[in-house]
Amino acid sequence: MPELLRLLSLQDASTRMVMLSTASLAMAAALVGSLAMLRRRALAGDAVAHASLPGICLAWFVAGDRSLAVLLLGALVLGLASMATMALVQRWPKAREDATTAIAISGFFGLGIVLSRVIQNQPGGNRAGLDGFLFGKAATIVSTDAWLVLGVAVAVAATVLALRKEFGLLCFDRDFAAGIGRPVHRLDAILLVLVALVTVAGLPSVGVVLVVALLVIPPAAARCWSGSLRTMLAVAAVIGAASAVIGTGLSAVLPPPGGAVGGGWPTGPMIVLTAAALFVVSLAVAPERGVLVALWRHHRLRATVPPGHGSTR
Amino acid sequence: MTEVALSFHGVSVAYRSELVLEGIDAAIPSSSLCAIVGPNGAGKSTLIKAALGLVPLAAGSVSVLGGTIASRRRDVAYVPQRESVDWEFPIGALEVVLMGAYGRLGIFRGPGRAERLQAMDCLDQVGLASFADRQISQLSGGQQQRVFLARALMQGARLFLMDEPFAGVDAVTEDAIMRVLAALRGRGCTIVAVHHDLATVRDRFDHVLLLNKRLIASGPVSTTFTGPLLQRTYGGRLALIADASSGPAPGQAGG
Repeated sequence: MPELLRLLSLQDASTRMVMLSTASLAMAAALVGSLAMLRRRALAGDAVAHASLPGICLAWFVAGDRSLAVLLLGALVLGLASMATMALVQRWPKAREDATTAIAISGFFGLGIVLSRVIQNQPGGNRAGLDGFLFGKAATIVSTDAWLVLGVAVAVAATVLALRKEFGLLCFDRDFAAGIGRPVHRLDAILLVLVALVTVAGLPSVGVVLVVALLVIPPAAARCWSGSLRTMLAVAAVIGAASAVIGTGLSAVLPPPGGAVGGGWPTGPMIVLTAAALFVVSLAVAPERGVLVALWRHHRLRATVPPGHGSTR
Repeated sequence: MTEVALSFHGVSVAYRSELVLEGIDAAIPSSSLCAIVGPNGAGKSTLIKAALGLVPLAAGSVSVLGGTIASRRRDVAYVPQRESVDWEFPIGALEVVLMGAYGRLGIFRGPGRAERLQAMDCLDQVGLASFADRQISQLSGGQQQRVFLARALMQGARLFLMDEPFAGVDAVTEDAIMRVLAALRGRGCTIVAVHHDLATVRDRFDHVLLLNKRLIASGPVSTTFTGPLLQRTYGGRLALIADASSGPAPGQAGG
């Protein structure tokens, strides 16, 4: 398989760049996602992702220049707007957080679908471009865009690592953090902006619908292995990066599903499926918190309890 | 006149246009163990949060150790309600205690060897020295409460604000916490705790603040923790009040 060799040895400059940017983005998303999950904001990324579709459409209307950077800027603006909307609605005493999030996700996405239909019906409204954002198209990312994604990933990861002690305190005990005078509102806002940044930067490769997976699955898998925030961040980053590399690699080297004439395996979904598989493995075999360990302990306990104790059924 | 550790001057707090505290005037003397007592929804936790500056005041002001809370944060320790945090969080007991040093460490500096030794000592004081590396999810409720107390000790404060430190804890923990609090008071610290168990107020505290959205009374337990005042605090809803307030003979009361 010369193709596989070429890919794994990263000889091709553009493959190398795409792989590097996707992997570092997945790593940054895993870091931010770990904090968001511990802060019980796991779905904030999904709200941003779905609001990014109308954002991309609006940017398409407003800006003559339709470069990726401009479209993603539009996505970021509407993503932040959806978070602000949720925060405002939650001031209403009867608002439930899960309901508010669902309303924001579906409402903004509905607007995005409507706007994208308007664009498709316009002369020059290139349908394929918008589809790429819905499901991701890592393979077609050009190297300048990959640099943009890489830059965002590095900046986000650096911010998380610099503030990890404060974020840990915020996520564990917000009241105590406020009690020692930490700017908890500002820290919360920074965390949400980081979520928005990685989500939007993940759109080109993974797409609107699946990008939340990068924020949620690696941290959930890492939680099985870790007893401290430090290990959780490290393991989540490794699982995120590994999912990106393995998923991208698989979609490139597996024979296309419909034979040579059809399209290849979609990169974004392959990354997500890899992450999901790593989660299932983590859940099963992790020490302390793994399912297999629990079953084995249960079995051993039953073996050591003398007959006549406990249930007699 | 005794020195005052914490005083409220006409403090009112509103949540969404509804007043939960109204015109609170009270002074808590230094080196005292003060209980905040009142029915559910009386604003006990809110009063503590008002003292810490965690909720905006609709009116009035709070004086902490003779200054504003902003200028005295390093001298104030806070023990939130145990239920307010996620005990499944991936962290060990010692790391939680180390958070008590964050206030003086600042944002970018992490705890070092000196802080770790001090945190071990704080865990030892609450009887949990052998639990330093234990995941907090594997601690009992009482042990979790003691970890919170150890973190407060780590803060090296003069005023301790505690939200229900005795809620749902076992007898061992009760004793351990009381010993620590008595030692703190002996060193001149002031402890203010939201407390639910009327039967133990006389034994454990020397000052009491009776609260039901408004201040009903504030003063020494011997003169303030009385049947008629408790009836007013609870609006006559508690049949056991008479028992609790007559309690053990005054000579037995610790304070």
